[in-house]
Amino acid sequence: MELFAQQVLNGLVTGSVYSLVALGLTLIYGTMQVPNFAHGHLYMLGAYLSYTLVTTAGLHYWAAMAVAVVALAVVGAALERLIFRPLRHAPHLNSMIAALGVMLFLEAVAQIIWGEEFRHMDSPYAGVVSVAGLLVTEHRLILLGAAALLMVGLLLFLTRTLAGSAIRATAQNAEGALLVGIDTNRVAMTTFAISAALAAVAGSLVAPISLVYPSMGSLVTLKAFAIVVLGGMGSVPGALAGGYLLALAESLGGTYISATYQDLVAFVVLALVFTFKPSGLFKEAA
Amino acid sequence: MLSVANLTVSFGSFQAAREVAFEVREGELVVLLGANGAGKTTVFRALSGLTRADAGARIEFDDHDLANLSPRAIVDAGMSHCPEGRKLFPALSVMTNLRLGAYLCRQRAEIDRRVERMLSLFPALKDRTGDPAGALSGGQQQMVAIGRALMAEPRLLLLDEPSVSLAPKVVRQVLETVAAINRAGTMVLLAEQNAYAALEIAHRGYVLENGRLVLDGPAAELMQHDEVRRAYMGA
Repeated sequence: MELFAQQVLNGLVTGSVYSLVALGLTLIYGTMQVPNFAHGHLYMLGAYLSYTLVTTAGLHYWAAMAVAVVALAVVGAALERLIFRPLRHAPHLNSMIAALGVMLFLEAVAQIIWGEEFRHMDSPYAGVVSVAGLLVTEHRLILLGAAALLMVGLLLFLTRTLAGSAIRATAQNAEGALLVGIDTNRVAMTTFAISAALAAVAGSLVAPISLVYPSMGSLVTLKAFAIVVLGGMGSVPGALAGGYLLALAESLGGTYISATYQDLVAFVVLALVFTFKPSGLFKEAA
Repeated sequence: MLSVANLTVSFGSFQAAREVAFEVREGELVVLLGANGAGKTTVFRALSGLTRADAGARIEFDDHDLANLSPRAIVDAGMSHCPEGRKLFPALSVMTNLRLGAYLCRQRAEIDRRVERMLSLFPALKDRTGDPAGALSGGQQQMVAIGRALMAEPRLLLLDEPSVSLAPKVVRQVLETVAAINRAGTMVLLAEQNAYAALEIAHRGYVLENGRLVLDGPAAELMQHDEVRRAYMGA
């Protein structure tokens, strides 16, 4: 029972990270129909920035994260403006190829700046606390809470503000959005910035409890795609629920079936969804 | 007043609209007749900025040149487009759909006032404001679409095929509302396949064939015109 509870907790921690990454991916897909294969690499960049700012610049963890978030928002906006916007009216394949190009480019940049070796940073919250008989590091609890807060904030932004409504309207009908006077280019740029910022938060949150290396984003991208397909392409609730579901399936599957095949769970889920419910669990857009 | 001249829209070598010229005068309800594929929707999309017109087109609205401005600038100039297929935001509530229609108006009280007016114009929507727009019946969705376009308080409403796939009784309701909107002072350019019903409420009409205007005149005259009766009314 304790093992089970421990694995559920691990699943929730990983799920927080998955959901944050998948949220950005689904937002970008929903508003622009761009499958951003480079999304996990934005997460990697966020992790490296926090790592560098903490270990070499000596910034406090939260300050480092804030800088990483702002920096990635700028990177995201630039990607939209310089790479994906010019391809908006080109065949879909072009923006897919461009996304792959961005992915390879970011990985190469990380290798040049930080090298290939695995990096590790310490969390300022290294203590261990006991929650209902379970031993958990403080950092994991903070990660859980910060991710949940951010997701609630994002949902409120999307549902309660005019800018959020503009994003959802653009995702549901881009021409309808244009006709009421929404500047869909600006929406696309804002969405990319928000998505990249979410990835930066996820990367910064995960950096102290895992390793930072140039290709750390690849597997996360694949899993985020599995989650977005599971939840329904473009669906925000789908990405939230899907992230936690997949992580729970992985951690429980890894414990009770085989740890060797833990990373396979995502792809089994993907195959099952494609076979039985191709529209995903939450088919409604945004 | 809207005055259009030399409006040509090409897709590759295909010209969906060719040198179209017409006008909508103050207070008028003008109908654009034409079969499927005649180019009505292309003309509408060029007017509202969704599609680029070829160089040389002149679209003058109250002395502003609107040719190839952004849809946002065109809405801002006072022309709203209620498109074919409605293009609503299906998962957003009826209320949000309506309020987004006034996206360029940033005064909350003013938006509230406009919403009230839409709900009195379309009483059937009163009980549905919290429902997702996509869950409504076809007729009600059309009301939301027209309401959304009117929320910008346009001086001219471009209304593309509002009666498509609606039951005959609902078609009459929708067209009566359009006539009422026009009587209240908004110019209307209406595209319709249902020629008879449209000419009944219109002041003037134009007939579009293969992208060209081939006929125009007062609605009463067009209704008697042999060609119109044969081609569009099955008489």
